[in-house]
Amino acid sequence: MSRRENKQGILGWLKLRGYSIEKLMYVAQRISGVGIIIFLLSHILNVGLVYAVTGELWEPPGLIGKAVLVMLGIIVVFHTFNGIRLVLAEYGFIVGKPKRAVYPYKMTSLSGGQRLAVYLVLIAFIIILYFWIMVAFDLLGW
Amino acid sequence: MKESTKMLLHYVTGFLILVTGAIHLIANNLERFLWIKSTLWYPISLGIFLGAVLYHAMNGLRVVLVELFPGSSSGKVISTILVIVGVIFFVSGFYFLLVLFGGW
Repeated sequence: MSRRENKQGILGWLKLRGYSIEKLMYVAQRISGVGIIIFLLSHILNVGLVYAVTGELWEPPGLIGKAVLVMLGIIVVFHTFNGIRLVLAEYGFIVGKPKRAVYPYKMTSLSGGQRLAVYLVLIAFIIILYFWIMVAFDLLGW
Repeated sequence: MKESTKMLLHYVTGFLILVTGAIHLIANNLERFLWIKSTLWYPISLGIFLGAVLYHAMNGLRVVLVELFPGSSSGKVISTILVIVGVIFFVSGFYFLLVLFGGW
């Protein structure tokens, strides 16, 4: 595929209407991944530079720094759960068996537990989110 | 390296991040487990965490960028740049670990 064939580029991520919930999960996985990478690279640089200059280990700076860490925790939890679902799907554990296409058409690849796995990821994420918010309140001193 | 091998490594490093990242967070945030930081296993686990998380991050970014900029030549450029960035961050992070735990 040439570069011109990928006409939508990053804007294609934003088109969710008419797509299944898996598209939303795909976009969320990418955005959360990029967010984690930004934190990771700045964390490696920051910790090393702070230690080199001051001789002290890095601490999250104030309320905003702690709030950023709380947000990071939320997206890491989502990225982890959805990543496990993607590994299971890639190796065919939760993908339905192929069937002859007969009207009314159904996405057979999404049967066999894949759609259920999406809901399980979202439920597990919400449960962990609840506990994480409790930890966040404690961290922020509320 | 085959694409399937790269992705297998992506999943293996994902699992390693889950284990070593948990050790990193627990040892730094829970007072009951502060003793972990004084063992030899902690810097080893941090070294594994650093390598795994950088491979996972750079390969994840490669997958996103290759999809956005398709083509074999752009794929090679993207891969080369990301390998260089990954190695720079690994060396600087590993050097910091050696300073902090190895007495360099």
